[in-house]
Amino acid sequence: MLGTVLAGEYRRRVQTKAFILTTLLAPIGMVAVMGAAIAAIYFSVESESAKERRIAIYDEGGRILPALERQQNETFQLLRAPPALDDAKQAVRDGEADVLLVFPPGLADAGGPTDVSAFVKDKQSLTAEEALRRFVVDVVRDLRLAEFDLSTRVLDTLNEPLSLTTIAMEEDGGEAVGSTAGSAAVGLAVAIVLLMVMWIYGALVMQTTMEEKSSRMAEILVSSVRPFDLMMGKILAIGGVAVTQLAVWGAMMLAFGSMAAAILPTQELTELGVATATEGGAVQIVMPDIRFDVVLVVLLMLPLGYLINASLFGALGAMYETPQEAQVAASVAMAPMIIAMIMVQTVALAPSSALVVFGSFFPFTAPIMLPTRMLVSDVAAWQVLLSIALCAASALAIVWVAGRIFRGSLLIYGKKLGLKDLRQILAAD
Amino acid sequence: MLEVDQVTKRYVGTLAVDGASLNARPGRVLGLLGPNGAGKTSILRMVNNITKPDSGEVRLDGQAVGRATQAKIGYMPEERGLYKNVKVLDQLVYIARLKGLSKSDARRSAEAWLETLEAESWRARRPRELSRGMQQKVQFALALVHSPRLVILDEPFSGLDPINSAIMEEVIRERRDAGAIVIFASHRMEQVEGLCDEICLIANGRIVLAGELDEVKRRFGRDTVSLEFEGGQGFLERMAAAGRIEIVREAEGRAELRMVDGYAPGELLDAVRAETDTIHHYSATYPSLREIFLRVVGATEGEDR
Repeated sequence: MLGTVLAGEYRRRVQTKAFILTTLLAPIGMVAVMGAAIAAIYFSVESESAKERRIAIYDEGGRILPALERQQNETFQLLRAPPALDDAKQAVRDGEADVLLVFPPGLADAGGPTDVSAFVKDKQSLTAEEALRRFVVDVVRDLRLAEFDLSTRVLDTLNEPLSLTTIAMEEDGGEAVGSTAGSAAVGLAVAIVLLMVMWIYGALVMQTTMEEKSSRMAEILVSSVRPFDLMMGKILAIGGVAVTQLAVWGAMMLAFGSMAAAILPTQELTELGVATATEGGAVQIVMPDIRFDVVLVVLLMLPLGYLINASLFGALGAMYETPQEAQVAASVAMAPMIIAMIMVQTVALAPSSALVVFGSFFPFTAPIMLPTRMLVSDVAAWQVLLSIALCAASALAIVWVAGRIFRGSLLIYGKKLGLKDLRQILAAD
Repeated sequence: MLEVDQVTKRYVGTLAVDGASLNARPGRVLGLLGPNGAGKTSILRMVNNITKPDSGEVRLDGQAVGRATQAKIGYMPEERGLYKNVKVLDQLVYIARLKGLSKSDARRSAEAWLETLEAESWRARRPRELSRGMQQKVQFALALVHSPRLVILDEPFSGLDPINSAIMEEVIRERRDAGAIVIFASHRMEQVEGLCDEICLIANGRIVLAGELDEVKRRFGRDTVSLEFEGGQGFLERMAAAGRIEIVREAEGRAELRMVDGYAPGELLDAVRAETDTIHHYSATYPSLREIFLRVVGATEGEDR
């Protein structure tokens, strides 16, 4: 019976024009947006890098220029500024140089001035300003270091880049590489996928129960099928719709991606992209190694999380008369998931705190918090199993309750269900 | 046989069904009659296992109603329901499948019913493209598509034109003759009189009268006179004032009268002849169901619909 409901609901959804349109058009929209974004990045990076910036150096102390002459810089073209400051500024105004850097005297001395001024004609972009700042810092630091007669070997050693790798020691003696940021990212990804699915498809679940109530189809259905089968069939069917749609989208994105890769000069693009990203000093996130158990838990928890939330939505659809009211209730219903998403960082930092442990058992937050917790700390197998079992049990329970509410709501038209009504509906049978 | 046995159902704040008992037999049409809000739909929902009685029991062929009996029941609810955007044939197949038919049986049966109801040309249409009457026929087919043992029709004729009503009546008789139990609920008593073998009158959640239609009518006797004549009808009012008759209904040249205190039909005929030369129609009959209902429940309650 469940299978019949599932198949019927699925077919009914997939055959609608709306479904076909959104499935086919959404990726085109996404590609358009992404294409525009990539193009914007591409052209801005290109224009900024293509134009070598001319920097006029006004060296009041007379020690910067000689130091610079020893140094080769490929990003900037360095010019000697006219001896009078006003002339130098005028040169920028006239477009003979892009930037005028004014180095005050005594920069290399302890307790000396610490401010370098840059005069520009137009406001510059953040990346340009950052590049300029780093240039100045490097120059002055080199100058200051030069005071100590250090060898280039010492200087090179000082300039060696550093990264931090977190290694969690496990009880069995094994070690796992991964940063808290990376673990949090996994939790965040689960949260985002769940929220997105609920955002798009939760509304659909709510809509089906509402529609059947308002079209009065519900009475025929509940006189033919167990309410649990009916609700479960609906929820699974829409889950199937979600999987179908996401798969089509995924496939289309892949196809578009490879097409784009064939057309665009991607190599150049990525090089530039990587260059700007690391130059900008972005935090490097070391993703934890793929752990089979966590993947398995995520794969189990995603559908369970969907079931729990979708059945909640189904119940709300049955309880309220208008989509607006139900929508408000639904946003409240989504609060635990959003809280779990916000708490992902906390989970990564304090995986053993009471709140986090509770959250990894609480069915509404567990799908997000359990995998995160597993990544950052050693969670006992029984805890993982218990959490999954709790999720599965509450999913079944909520589907059951939602089915009951759906059936009971038929008897009460035109008003919201009160607590008394709910009690009777659940007690019936 | 369907047995509703001492069933009581209470919703928050209201007593919907109050110790009701009734039986419906195979090969018979039972009319469940009563004004709106009398408890008809509440009883039908319990028969359909949509709600459970607070006390008492409903049995179909000796088995308490539940999941298993649902497949044997076809239900056309008063609140009509169809998927607005699903093709007629697909809806029929879907419901037939939910009632336990195999895929091929469901399809065959759905097509056969559309043909019987002279609706095969709409098989690929969607309800929102159909008129109300057409939708009603689809609804009717939805209740019959799995050839149920028990057919329950709640106000099946409301809003239907005479031609389609006739088609549906014929189908109902055909199902009855094939041995199905047919229950149909209505508050339009005159509409169902020709179709029911048995009736069950319900008011305020209680069964107030039940039995074979003929037998029930006989119980009330041939005390009703139907009359058509020419001329003024002031004399009828005088006779009523004198306590000989009660006027059940009257219109220009037409009246339905009830004789009081053993006043004989012959005497009434003489009295009428004294007043008018032209009598088109004069017959002594059983009271109409509506009249019977009013007498049983009391005028105020019966009119309340």
